[in-house]
Amino acid sequence: MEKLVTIFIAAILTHNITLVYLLGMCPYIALSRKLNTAFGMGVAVIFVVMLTAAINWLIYHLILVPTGSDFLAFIVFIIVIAASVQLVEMIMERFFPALQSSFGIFLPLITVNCIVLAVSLFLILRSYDFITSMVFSLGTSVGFMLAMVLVAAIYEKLELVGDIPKGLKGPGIIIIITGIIALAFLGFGGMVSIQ
Amino acid sequence: MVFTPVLVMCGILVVITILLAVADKALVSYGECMVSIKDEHGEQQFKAKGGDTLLSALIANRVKISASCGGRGSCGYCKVQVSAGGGQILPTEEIFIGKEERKQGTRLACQVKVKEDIRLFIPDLLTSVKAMAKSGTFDTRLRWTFLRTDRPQIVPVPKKHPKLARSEQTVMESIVEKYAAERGAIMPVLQEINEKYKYLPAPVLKNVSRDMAIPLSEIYRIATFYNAFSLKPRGKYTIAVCTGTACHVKGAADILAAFEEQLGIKTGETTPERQFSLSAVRCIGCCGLAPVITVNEEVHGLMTMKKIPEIVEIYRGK
Repeated sequence: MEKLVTIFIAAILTHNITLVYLLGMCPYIALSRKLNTAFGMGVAVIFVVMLTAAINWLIYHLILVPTGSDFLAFIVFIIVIAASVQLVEMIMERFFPALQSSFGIFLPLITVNCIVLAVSLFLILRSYDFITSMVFSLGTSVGFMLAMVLVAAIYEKLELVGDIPKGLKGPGIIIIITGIIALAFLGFGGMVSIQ
Repeated sequence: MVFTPVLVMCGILVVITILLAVADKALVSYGECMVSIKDEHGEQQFKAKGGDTLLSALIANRVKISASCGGRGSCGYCKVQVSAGGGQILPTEEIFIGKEERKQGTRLACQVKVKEDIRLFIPDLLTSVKAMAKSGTFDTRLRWTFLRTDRPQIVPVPKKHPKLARSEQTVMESIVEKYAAERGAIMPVLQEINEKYKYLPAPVLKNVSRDMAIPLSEIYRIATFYNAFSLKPRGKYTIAVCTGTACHVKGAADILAAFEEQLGIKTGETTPERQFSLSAVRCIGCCGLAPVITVNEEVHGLMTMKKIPEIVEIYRGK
């Protein structure tokens, strides 16, 4: 139990996937201009990361390892991620159209979000068991959401003041904000650690 | 050679493909749906397979619609007005569809999925443009927009920031030229512009900034600091009601309220015909005449409620 909590906290703070590993920069920079889009993307990522991590963990340990074909992990994971997102979208479109319209464009976008693949690969590199994997993937995706929401909130404030230099508007200022927040997150460094 | 990985890979691919194919069949089928189209020339109806996009249904039934990107939602040409059964607007469409269009139910045909009976209106843009080109009213140098009312028509896009008229340009240049030799001459330039227009119009300031090589931000800073300058149009006469201590005690607040009522504007505003602006100022140094107001440079002291309409009348005709 203690180990699970450690991993959860570490995945959010000390090993934050966006601010420490700098993964998933594309959706992060593109969607962190508004608080509610950032939040929407965050929720969608949590959902997809949890789902694909579970499926990928099962496929890896039940199919790939026993047949000695674990070197296929990369390609299988990518295919599984793409297919499951597609499937989820179909199901949502049919049964939960309201939910789908609130997720909007984020769900299909996540297919190409490298965080999803990174989480599945981390699970294998660090040889987590199933429960730990789930906790880790939840922590990681919450960490991503946290980073996005933080930056989006700051960016909204900055835009309100409106004093951003012309050349820094948009991605430029977001990268600077990210750098400063990442520095702050370094402060969590010695708190907890995974591997 | 070990073949297991190959088999495993193939197996996974086959399973996923079958899964998706089954899901596609089971989930994305809505049976046959009725599509009814209205345009300027009449109405037509046809059946379409549910689950397809509206654009492909339209093209399959030889309805004229332009879609230069081929239905990928990147050109925004395939606009149709959906009056029933299109579902909610998608985020992929939002960038192409303005507020007004949204109200009228405009959608991109390539993003609308046929899930139920759909009724739509397709404005015949091409024919109207052709007709305009023939009659010579279509000027290719202007930007045109499509006005979606009951009788759709094509109108030029109004320009947001009109350029300076030739005469205004020369006025501005002459003012700037007069002070060109002096350093830090922005103040007198602004003062003269203010005198001429009674306020500082944004296009003029932009030109001043360019000609004097002073950043617009600097000009903005000066223009907003001094009370004498205003970025909004001001009236010919500025009625300034003193609200200093002595005048306040003598009822300046009531005087101000009475002016607001008389002119029909609030403090800080200008009447629509630009005759009067109303403002409240701090002590103007004639407490002996309290309550006191000034109209431009003229001082009117010992104000009473009765005097207010009289004063307004004096300056209204001037």
